[in-house]
Amino acid sequence: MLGEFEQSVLLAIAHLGEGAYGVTIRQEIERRTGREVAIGALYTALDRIERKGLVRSRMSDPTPTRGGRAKRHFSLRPAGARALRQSREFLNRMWEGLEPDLKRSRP
Amino acid sequence: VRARPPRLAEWLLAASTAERDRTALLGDLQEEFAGRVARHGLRSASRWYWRQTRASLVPNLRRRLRPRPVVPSRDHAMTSLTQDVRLALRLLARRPLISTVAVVSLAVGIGLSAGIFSLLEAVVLRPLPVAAPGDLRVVLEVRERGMNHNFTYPGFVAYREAQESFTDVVALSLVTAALHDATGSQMVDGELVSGSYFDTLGPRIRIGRGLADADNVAGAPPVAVLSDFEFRRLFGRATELGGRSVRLNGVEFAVVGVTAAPFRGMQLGRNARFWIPLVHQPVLEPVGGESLLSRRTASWLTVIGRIRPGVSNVQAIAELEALDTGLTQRLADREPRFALVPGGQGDSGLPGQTGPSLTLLLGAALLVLGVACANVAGLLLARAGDRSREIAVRAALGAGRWRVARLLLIDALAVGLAGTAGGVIAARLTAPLAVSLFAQFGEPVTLDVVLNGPVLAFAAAAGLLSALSAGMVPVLRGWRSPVLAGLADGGRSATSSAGARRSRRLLVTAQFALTLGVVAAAVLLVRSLANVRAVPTGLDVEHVALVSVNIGAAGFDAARTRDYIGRVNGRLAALPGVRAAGFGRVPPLGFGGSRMTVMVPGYTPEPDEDMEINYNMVSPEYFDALGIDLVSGAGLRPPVAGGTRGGGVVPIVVNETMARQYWRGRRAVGQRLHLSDTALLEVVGVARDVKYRNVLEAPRPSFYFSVARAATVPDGVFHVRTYDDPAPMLDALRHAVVEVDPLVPLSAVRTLEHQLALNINRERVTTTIGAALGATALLLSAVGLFAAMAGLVAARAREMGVRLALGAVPATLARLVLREGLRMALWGGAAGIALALWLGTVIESRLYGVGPFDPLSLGGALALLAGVALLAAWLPARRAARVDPVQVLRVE
Repeated sequence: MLGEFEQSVLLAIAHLGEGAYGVTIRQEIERRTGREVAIGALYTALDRIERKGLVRSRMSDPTPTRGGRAKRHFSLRPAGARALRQSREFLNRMWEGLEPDLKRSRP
Repeated sequence: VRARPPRLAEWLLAASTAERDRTALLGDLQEEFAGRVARHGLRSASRWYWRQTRASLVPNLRRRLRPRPVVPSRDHAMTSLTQDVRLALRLLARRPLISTVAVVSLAVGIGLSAGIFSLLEAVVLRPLPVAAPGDLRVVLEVRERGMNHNFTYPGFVAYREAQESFTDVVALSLVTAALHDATGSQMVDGELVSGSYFDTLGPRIRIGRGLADADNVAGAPPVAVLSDFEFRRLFGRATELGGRSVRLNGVEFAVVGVTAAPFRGMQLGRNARFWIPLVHQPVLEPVGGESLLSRRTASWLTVIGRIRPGVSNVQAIAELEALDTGLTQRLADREPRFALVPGGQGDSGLPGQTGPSLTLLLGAALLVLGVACANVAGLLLARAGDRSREIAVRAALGAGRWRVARLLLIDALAVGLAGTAGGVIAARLTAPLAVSLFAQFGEPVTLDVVLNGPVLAFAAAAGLLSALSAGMVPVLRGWRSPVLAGLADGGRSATSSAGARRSRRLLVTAQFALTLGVVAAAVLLVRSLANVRAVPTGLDVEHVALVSVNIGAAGFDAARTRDYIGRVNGRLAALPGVRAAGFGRVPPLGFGGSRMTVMVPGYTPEPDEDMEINYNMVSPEYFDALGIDLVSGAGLRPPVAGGTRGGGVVPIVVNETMARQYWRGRRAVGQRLHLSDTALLEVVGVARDVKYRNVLEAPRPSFYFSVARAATVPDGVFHVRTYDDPAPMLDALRHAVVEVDPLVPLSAVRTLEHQLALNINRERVTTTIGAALGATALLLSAVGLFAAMAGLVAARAREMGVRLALGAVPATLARLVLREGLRMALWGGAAGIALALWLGTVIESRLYGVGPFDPLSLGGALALLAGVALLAAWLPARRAARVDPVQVLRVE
């Protein structure tokens, strides 16, 4: 089972496809959720899901806007996609039959 | 120019981020930062960057510190070393309570030792901030009874001219003068110095110049050099003299120079704030307008010289004795003899007075440090127990003994480092407090106690030695067979193994042995101080207040002085609650006094007998005001107006010792004696002996005569005897004296009780610090015992559970634990008796009324130890009694 933040990170990487690296992932989550994401927390989560085998990363060439520093690109591995689907399914099952009630009670 | 992210934030991020992601993370942030600078401006972007940094620190650190499995590495010495260190720190954090106890114990031990060492360094080891202090010598005159530092001015001038052993000699005299500034006036210390003082001694001058010989000639304009402290106090951050001047005793002195901190004159412990040429002595020390400069009988100068390279002390002394310069006041057909002592610390009794006490206290503090080390060793043993499996596995995989020893010693060093850091901070905070306890001749002592190289080196060495010796305990335990020691316990923590328990018990026993030594010595000091306090002084200590006045500063003549003393006495005696008030020149128990040589007809002194005896000039009410009983004869009567000063027979009251010594078996009243200058004295009364300078002095002859016969009275003390505690009346007394004549400044208002406390200050300070050390040792041992017993109870919980299940009464188990704790403490105490006795002989010279082998003190110390041990074992004992058999046995 994935943590909420791990899910968000994986989903952001899935949305971004080829262009997923620190800046874009951070901005994607912020844009969609409105919550500010600390870069340190992001990399901690990325490190974790990479070690679980859900994503893979590779370094690209350095660029001058980055003070001559290289980017780390991330991409979803099949296991990552699978984990996301499982999480989604799990939650769907738990939600089944609740949606009308909860929608009413929460404006 | 491309905008840069805030450097500090960037550095924090770089330092906290795992190395693998550092480049990418910093690059990401910088890229986004650049975008934000372009859109929102630099300020907003920097704020954002900082926000990111703050929010990232916690996850970054958590990620880096998260424990990872430790793999015994190939021996890449350095990488494995850093791994060991990291592991040690992580383990330290994993047992926060015990680690804190060990670190705090060590910090206390090192803090006390380093704190006392820093005092010792400031008092004894560190020379004054002058040029080449090793070449300075203080000139002393050797007399039958001790040494004399003081020389005449004409003698000094002649000697300086004639001598060749020194590149130059200087003369100085401590002086206290009223300094007037914007906020009023206060008495401040300074030095009267000869012209070449600054050139010869070479303290650094921050602004302007030092004094010169040209400043020290008659008629030279009044000039002064100020200390850095005083200049800053008066003129703030000014960096130029700008024609500034100071007013001392009402005379303007132009400031010509400022010394650099921390120079405070040539008397260590005193805070000289100004330096004035000797020629201005009459202004600063108005003794009836008389100048000491021309007097060949007034010895008032300290002489310090800078010895020439290649000249030995012996040669210099030979020259001093050969030159007949009148340096010293000539006494009774005796050739003066001289001695030289090192002058690097100037002319101060402080090193000699406090050095031995401080050395002693440092020794005691090191014993306390030993007690603390036992606590550290206890922690390390427990920790080695936690790691026994890891260590066994490492050993099984081929780690050698040295590798395992290093692992354990690194543990110890981590604790040592933390403890030393804490100790240095503690020393920094407490040493100034200790300085405030000190007093010299009733005056507070000024010392620059600093964390300098020697102090830090001492703390570091103490920390390193402590860590290594404590670390050796677990190392030696596992030395024989690390694999077996760990694996044989079958995964139980090693605290439960019999060997570890034995080590722990030995540690606690050793702790209590050291503690007994320190505590027994402290008890001896406390008893000795109680004895000193109980010494009869002959004075009504509890009911007397002292008001010291500086009559000389008012410039009264003899008649006006007489009138003033009479009026103040009358005024004070009329106050409600006052029984009597009287004046005397010499304050009781004030360290100092006046002496005169007497010749007693019909009495032949012993060959070396000192016929220079103490005297005091007093008003008739004096005896009543101090509660001194007259044994026979009458007191001093006020002389008839228009009196017989200078002529006729002077009536005196002598003390019992004088009556007994000079007129053995005869009636003293009516006897006559001479002073050296032929004045005739007649005994009119005999008073009980009182302590004159010190509480512990032996009774010596002394006598009193009427102050009304004195030509000048530069200063003195009004003694006020009250019916109740005089402390609440001090303000009223002060006001009453000021009201009689505001021209006369008061120098001190205190109770005789306070004066007595100042008089025995050295004993009090030693005892206070000694008792604090004893208490600390007790506390540390208690903590050690507590930790050991708690560990023991935890380790034997299973056994106790089984016993309870088989029907044991809980109280029996509690008693078992208490007994075990008490046994360790008392075995330790017994082992410490030898140490206690030895320490007793070391401090024997400073014990009063109690011997080094004092069964009562020793018994008291043992009882204290037992009591503390019972308290410390109490909680673990309760826990033992509350072991739940079901819970414990379920684990099995």
